[in-house]
Amino acid sequence: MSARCSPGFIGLAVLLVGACRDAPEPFVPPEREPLGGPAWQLTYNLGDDRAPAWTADGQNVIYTAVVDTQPGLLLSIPYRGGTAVRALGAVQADTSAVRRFTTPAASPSGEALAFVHFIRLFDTSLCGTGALSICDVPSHPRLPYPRLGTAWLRVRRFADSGSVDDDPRYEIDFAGRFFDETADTLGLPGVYVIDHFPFHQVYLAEDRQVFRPSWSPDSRHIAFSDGLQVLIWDVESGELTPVPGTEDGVAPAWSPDGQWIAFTRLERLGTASSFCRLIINGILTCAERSTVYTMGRRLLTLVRPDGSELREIGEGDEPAWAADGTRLYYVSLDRIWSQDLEGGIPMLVSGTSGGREPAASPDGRLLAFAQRGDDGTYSIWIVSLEP
Amino acid sequence: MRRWRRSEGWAAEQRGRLVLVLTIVILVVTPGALAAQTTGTIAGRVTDAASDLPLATAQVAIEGLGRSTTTDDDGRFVLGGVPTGSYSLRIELLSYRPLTLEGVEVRAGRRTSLEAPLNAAAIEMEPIVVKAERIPLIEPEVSESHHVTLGRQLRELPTDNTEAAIELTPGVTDGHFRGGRIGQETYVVDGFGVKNQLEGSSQGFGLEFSPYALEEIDVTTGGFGVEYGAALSGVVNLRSRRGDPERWHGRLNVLGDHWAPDDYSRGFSELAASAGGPLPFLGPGTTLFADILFQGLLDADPRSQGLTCLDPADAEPELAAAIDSLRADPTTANLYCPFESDMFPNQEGDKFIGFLRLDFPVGQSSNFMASLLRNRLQRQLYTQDFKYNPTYQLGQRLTGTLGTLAFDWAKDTQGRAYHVTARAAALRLDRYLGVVDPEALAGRSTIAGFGISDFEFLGEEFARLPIAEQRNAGNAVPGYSEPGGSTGSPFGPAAEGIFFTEGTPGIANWSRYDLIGADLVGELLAAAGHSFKAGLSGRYHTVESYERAFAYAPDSIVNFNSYNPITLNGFAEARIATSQLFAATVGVRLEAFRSGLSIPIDTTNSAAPTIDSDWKTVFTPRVGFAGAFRNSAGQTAFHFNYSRVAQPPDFRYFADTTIGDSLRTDVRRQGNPNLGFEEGRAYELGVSHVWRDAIGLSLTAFRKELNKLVTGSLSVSGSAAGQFTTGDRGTIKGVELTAYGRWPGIEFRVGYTLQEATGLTSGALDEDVDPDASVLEFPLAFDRRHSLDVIVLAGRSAAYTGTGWGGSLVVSARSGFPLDRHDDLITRLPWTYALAIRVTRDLGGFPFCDGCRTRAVLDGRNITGRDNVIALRRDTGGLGPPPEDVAAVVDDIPSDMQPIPRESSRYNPLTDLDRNELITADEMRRVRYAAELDRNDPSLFFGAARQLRLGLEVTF
Repeated sequence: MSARCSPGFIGLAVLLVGACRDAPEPFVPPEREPLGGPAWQLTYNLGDDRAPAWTADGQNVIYTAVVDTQPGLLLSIPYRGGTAVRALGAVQADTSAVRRFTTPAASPSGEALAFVHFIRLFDTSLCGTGALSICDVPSHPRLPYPRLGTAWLRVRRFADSGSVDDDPRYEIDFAGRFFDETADTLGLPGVYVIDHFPFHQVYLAEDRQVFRPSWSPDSRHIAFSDGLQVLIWDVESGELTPVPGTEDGVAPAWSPDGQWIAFTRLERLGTASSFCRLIINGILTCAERSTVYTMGRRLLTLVRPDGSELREIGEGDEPAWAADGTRLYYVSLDRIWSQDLEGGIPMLVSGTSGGREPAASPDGRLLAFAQRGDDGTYSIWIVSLEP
Repeated sequence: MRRWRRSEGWAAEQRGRLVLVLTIVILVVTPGALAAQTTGTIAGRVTDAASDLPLATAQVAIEGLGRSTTTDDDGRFVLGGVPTGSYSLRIELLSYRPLTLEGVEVRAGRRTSLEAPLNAAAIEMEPIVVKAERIPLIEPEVSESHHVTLGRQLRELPTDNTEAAIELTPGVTDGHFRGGRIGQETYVVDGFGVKNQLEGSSQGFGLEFSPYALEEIDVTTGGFGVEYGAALSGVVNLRSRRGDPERWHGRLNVLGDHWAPDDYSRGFSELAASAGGPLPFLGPGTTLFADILFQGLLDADPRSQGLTCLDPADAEPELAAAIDSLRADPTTANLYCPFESDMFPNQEGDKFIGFLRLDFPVGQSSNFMASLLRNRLQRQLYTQDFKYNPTYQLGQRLTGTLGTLAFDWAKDTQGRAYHVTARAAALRLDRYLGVVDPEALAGRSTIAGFGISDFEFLGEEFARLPIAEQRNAGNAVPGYSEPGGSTGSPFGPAAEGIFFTEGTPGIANWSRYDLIGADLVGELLAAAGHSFKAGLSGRYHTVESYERAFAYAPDSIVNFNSYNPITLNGFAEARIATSQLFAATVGVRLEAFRSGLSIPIDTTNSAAPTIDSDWKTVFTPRVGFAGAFRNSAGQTAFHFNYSRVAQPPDFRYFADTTIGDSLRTDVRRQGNPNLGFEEGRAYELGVSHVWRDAIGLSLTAFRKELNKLVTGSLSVSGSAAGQFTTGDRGTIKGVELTAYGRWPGIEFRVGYTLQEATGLTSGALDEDVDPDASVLEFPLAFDRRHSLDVIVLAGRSAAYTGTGWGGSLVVSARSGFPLDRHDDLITRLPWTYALAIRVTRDLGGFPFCDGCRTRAVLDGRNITGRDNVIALRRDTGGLGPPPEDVAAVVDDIPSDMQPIPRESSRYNPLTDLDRNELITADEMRRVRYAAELDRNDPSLFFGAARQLRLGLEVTF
C-alpha cells in the first residue's frame, strides 16, 4: 500500500506535539500588599512602636518596638510595608537576652547606626510602697521619682558582626537622683537628693526620648542630650563637647547642611524644694530632699554646633529637619507641624493627629512619625509631604 | 485441549472436502516445569487421514531451523528446545501428500501439540499448506491455575505496566495473590527467577518491562511447579519478545494527556519505540529485539488537595459540617480548598525502560539468548508535611539492571527429545530515597516531562560513603536542614509545625541489592507426553541498606547493614501422561538459604550476644492431577493439586526495619538474621468446560494455610522481645470463577473471586488481644471478599482485521478490605469500581514509508471519575482525623497569644481573616483548624484519578 498522509494523522500529530503543559508551580504565599496613599500605618504591633528614623537610602524605617518580653527592639521595615527585621542582626541575634534599645539614628553615610541602650532605669519608689511622707513643706508638689539612670549611647556599623562591646559607646549618667551619704538625718545613713529636672518630667509623663542622638552630616559626630544640655560626641576620638547655651536642651537634631542644631529647650519657671521623711509601718525608713523645677514652655531653638547664634523660633518639641534644611517639623498640640525657617506661619502636617517624633525621609517626600492610637499605644505611620 | 479428531462429524467433513485441517496450538504445559524458558516444545501425532491410524517414521521438520525428527510407532513426535517464534512444520512420508503447517507458534516454555492427518497420494504432489492457530480456552492437562495475558493484549489494553496487567488476573488484587501478602509471589524473567528478595513485601518486583517488550505474562496463582516454587502465593512469568527471524518489525508511539482538560490530565507523556528482526550477518536465525520507553509525569495530582477540598458528600457528617462551615463563612472561604488551579505541589517524575534481547542459534539444536533490561524510575514523592515547601521535596530513584544469559541445547530422537538449559543472570536494584537537589532538578533538561538525567539528591555522595567514614565525620547529611517555616503555606503562622515550608525532610535512605545466580536444568521429553525434569540453581546476594531518619541532625542515628545471603535449591519433577487427556505431576524441591548476617540480639546494646545465622532448609513436595472427563470429548476437565510452599523471608527482616505489614502496620522491629522459611500448604480443585470453542468456564476452589509468616509481634522468648519472628499464621480459602469468550472480532475474560483471608493471633502480649483466648481468628487486612475483573477486546484489538477500529475495556469491581482487625464489627472499606477504555482507529499509511501503518489511540482511565475510597483512617473509620486530635492541635495556640502584626515575619494575609493587619489568637485557632484538616488530606485514601490520553502509533 502506498504511503499517504491522512488528515487525521496530521491533526493528531499537531495536537500531540502542540499540547504540552507546564509543570505545576509550587504554592507561593501571597505577598503583603505594598502600602501607599497620603498616609499609612506602617506598624501594627500592639506594643509601642516609637522613634522612627530613616535609613540613609530612604528605603527603610528603623524604629523601636516594644514586643511582648522585649522592651526595646530595633527593627527595620520597608517604608511601603513588609516584614520588619532586626536592624542589627548580630547585636540582637540572641533573642533570649532582654535589652532596651531605643532612639535609633542611621548615619548619613549609611554605614552605622547610633542608638541608646538603657542599662539602668530606676524604680519609681525609693522607699517602698505605702510610705507615709511627712514633709516640711506640705504643699510641695509630689512628682513621680525620676527613672532615667544610666544609658549607653552606642554606635554600631551595620556590616560588623563582632561583639557589641567593641563598638564605640558613651555612657550617659542622667542627673537628678543620688544618695547623699554625708547627710545624717535622724539616724538614717543618708538622704536621697532628688532633682525633678524638666527632662525627667517629660520622660515620665510623656515618655519623650529627650536624649535622642542625631548625626552630623559627615557621620563623624553625634549630638545628643543628657537631659540638661546638648552635647556633641566625636565618635572616632570619643571626645565630648557640650554645646554652649543649650541648657535644658533635649532632642537635638543636626541640620542636613551641618550648620545648625535644632533642639527643644525645656523652659524652667521656678523651683520648689522640700525635705520629706518617709515612714512605713510607723518606722522611719528614709528621707529625701527634693527639688521640683516648674516647667514652662518647650521652645524650639537653633544653635550653631559651636554654641553661637542661639535663637528661639517658637514653641514646639522634637524638631526634625526637612531634607533640604529649609524647614523644621516639630510636635505641638499633639500634632506635627512644619515651620519654614525663612519665615511664615507654622503649617499643620495633615494626618498627624496624635503624632510625635517626626522624621523626614532623605528625599523629603515622606514623614515618618509615631502616632498614638485609641488604646494609648504608638504605631509608626508615614505621611506624604507632597502636595 | 481441543480434540479435533475426537469429533467424528468434524473428521468426516474434513475428509469429504479433501482438505486437511488440523490442528492446533495448545497450551499444554506440565505444571510449572516448562513454564518459563526461552524455548518451547512441539509435539504431536501423525495419522492417516482416512483411517486415523498412526503413521510411523514420518519425518517432521522445522523449516528454516534445520531441526527434524521422526514419528514413533504410535505416530508421535516431539521436538524439544525449539526457539520461540512462528514456524512452518513440514511433515513428509512416502506415499503421502506432504503437509506444511504454517504459523506454528512456539512459545517459551510451552508445549505446542499438533495433530497431522496425512492424505495418501500415489504421485508426488504439491504439499498442502494449512494455517494453524487457536489457543485453547481450557487446558485439560494442566493441573495449575494460571492466566495468560498475551503481548498483543498487553499492548491493546488500557494498562500501563506489568503490575497493572498482573492485577487483571483472577485472584490478584492490589498485589495480593489469592489473599496472600504482597511479596508472596516470585517473578521469572525468561526462565530466570529474580524475585526482589530484599524488599519484595514492600517494593514489589522492583523491575518493570515495557508492555511493548513482552510476549506474554503468565500468572500462576495455584499449583505452581517446583522449578520456580520459592513462593507462597504465586509465580509471575514474564516472557520477553524475540525478534522476528524473517523480517524487521517496529513500532513507534507517542501518548499523552497534556491536551486534555485539567480533570482528565496528570501531565502524562509517553514515547515508546521497539524494533526486532533478523541479524543475518551474525548467522541464520539470529535475531535482535530492542525496546525503549520514556514516560514523563508532571503529576498534577488532584488528590493532594486536603480534606477541605473534599466534596462534603464524600465525607462523614462531622467533617462535612466543618468543610461547609469553612466554605460558608466569607472570612474563611479562602481556607476552603486553598490551592486550586495551578498551585499544586510540584512532584514530577519520569520512567525509562530499555530492553535488548539477542537470540543466536548455535548449530541446529542449540540456542543462545542474552538480554539486558534497564529501569530507571524516579519521581518526587508527595509528603503532606512538605507539600507547600517550594524548594525541597522527597524523591525516590529506583534503578534496576538485569542481564541474563541462557543456553538451550536440544536433541531430538524418534519419540524423545532431550533438553538442557543453562542460565546465568546478574541483577542490581538500587533505591535511593532522599531530598531531591532542587538546583539540579531545575537545571536538568526535560522533554514533555521526561528528564534525560538522573535525579540528584542532597548529600547522596556523603550518604554513600563508607559507613565508618560517615560516623567518624559526625555530620548531618550535607544539604539537609531542620524543617520549619511559618508563612509559606496558605495558613501562614497558624500552620507552624503542621507544614514545613523551610528546611528539608529528614530522610536519607538507600538500599542496594545485587544478585548473581545460575541455573542448570535438564529435561527428558517423551512423545507420549511423559517428561522428567530436574535442576539446580544458586543465588549469591549482596545487600546493603542505609537508613537515616534525621539526616539534618549531626550525630543522628545511622542504621547500616551489609551482608551476603545465599540461596540454593534443587528440584525434580516427573509428568506422567496416561493419555492425551490426563496427566499426573509429582515434584519435589529442596531449598536452602543462609542470611550471612550476624548482629547483636539487642541492637541497642553492643555487648549483647550475637545472633549467628545458620543454614535453613525446607523440603516441599508437590503433586498435581489434571484430565478431561470421560465422554466429554475433551470439553470438560478437572484438576487438583497439593503443594507445600515455602520462601525465604525478605532479607530486610534480617536487619532492623519497619514492617508495613497488614497485621502489624508500620512497626519497627529488631532484625533477626536467623529467621527461617515462611511456609505453608496449598490445595486446589477445579473444573472447566468449553462450549463450541467460543466460551470457556472454569471454577476453582482453593485453600491455603500459611503457618510461618514474618511478624513484628513481640517474641515471648527472653531478650529477643521485639524481634522479627515467623510467628504469624493465616488461612485463605475461596473460589475463582473465570469465563473466557472469543468470536471473530471480540474476546473477553471475566474473573470473579470470592475469598476469605483470616489470621490467627500470634501476639499473645498484644494488648488488644484477649490473652485468655487460645485461638483468636480475625480477618487479615487483605481479606478482600469479592473481586471482579472484566476484560473485553474488540475489532483490531482482538486481532480482527475486518475493521479499522479497535477497542478494549477493563472493568473492575472490588469489595473493600477490612478496616481494622480488632474491630468487632469488622468495618470494611466500600466497594471500588473503575472503568478504563481504549479505542484505536487505523489512519492509513505514513509518509515516505511503504509498509508503515498509523493509528490513533484514545485511552481513558477511570473515565467515570469515580472517587474510589481505597483506605480510611483506622482510628476514625473515616477520612477525617479524630476531632479531639484536631482540637489538640488547635490548642497549640494559647488563647492569650500575642497577636501577630503585619510587620511580623510570621504574618500572612491569608491568616488575617478580618484583614485588620493583625492576626489574633482567635484567627490563629480557626485557621489552624483548617490547616490540620488540610494536612490530613485524602490523597492516600482514593484510587487513581481519571485520565484521558491521546496517542499516535506508527508500525512497520
